[in-house]
Amino acid sequence: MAKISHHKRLTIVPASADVGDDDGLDTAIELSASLISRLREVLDRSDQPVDHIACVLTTRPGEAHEPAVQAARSIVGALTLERGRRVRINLLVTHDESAGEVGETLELLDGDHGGFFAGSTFDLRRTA
Amino acid sequence: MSILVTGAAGGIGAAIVDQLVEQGHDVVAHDLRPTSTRSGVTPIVGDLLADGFAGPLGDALGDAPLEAVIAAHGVDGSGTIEDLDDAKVSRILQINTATVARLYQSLYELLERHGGTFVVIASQAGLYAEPKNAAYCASKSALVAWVKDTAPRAATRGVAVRVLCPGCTETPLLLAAHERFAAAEGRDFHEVLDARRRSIPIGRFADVTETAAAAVYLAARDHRPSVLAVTGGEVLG
Repeated sequence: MAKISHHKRLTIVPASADVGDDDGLDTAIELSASLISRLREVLDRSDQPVDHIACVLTTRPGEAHEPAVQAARSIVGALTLERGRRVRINLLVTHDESAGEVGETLELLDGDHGGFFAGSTFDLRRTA
Repeated sequence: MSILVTGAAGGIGAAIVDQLVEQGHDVVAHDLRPTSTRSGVTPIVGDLLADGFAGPLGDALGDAPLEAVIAAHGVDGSGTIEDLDDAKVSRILQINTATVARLYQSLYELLERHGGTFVVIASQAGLYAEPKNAAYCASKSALVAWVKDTAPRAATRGVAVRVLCPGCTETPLLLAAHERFAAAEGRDFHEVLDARRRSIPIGRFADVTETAAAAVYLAARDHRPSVLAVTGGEVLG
């Protein structure tokens, strides 16, 4: 029987984070809790198994989002090690979810040659 | 528009050339030995270490606008510290690191004319130290750092400099390295190979077409990461 691929895309938008306030830590904490919860929900669904999850994190230029980005990166990495070959999880970080490069990256990840990407972060922020 | 691929006779390099040609690009394929003669490919043979090689390379590129360079050349450098004599270390660092920067310097102006991209194929060994691989890790780590340093400056002139850090890709180079690891440990080659596969979270090596596709993705003019790891989860990037 032909293998059926199941891809899931999670869109993540962190709350506003002012530079000089808490420098983004509260936002990182909130985002981490939310991302873990959403990933658990996807991974726990035995009726809708997935073999690839692309997390798309949209940050805003000028905001203190780096702690949130690094937290998301670590969550994706930890789950990659934890789940092994059962599911691939990758992270895209962008300033604009509708930008062409986001679609092109998702196309690569979900395509015939994207199967070795696991635990990777694609930093597509224009000012990165 | 043409794209130069170095190391084009190697496993990953040849797969990159194939994918670029399939996408309709004109490719100048460089290596120490003859490469593909398929339509759309201009082969050039020469040693990047040789003084004056930039001349013949420039001749091969001709007047066609240079869209991208993919530096996929390199040598295996595996071995314990006892295996690494001075000459071997020098050769690994010269080929894997110095020739890449030299290639960039010699082609930078051509790339600048048309807002091209310069993609370096490094390794996950450039992100994370590996045992019995000191010289190779040094050569690839230096490359990753060089790209991180060079990319912002190049970007102000319209040139994108990027680095791909692939994990274990099933190539003759990888198999030869594991043969040496096995010999050094007095273990069975296939046993060592299987253990290595199991150490990768997704449980296998990359096919050359997967690593090539990642390189071709980075060579696009569109916005891309400046550092990208494709390692099956073994090294998280």
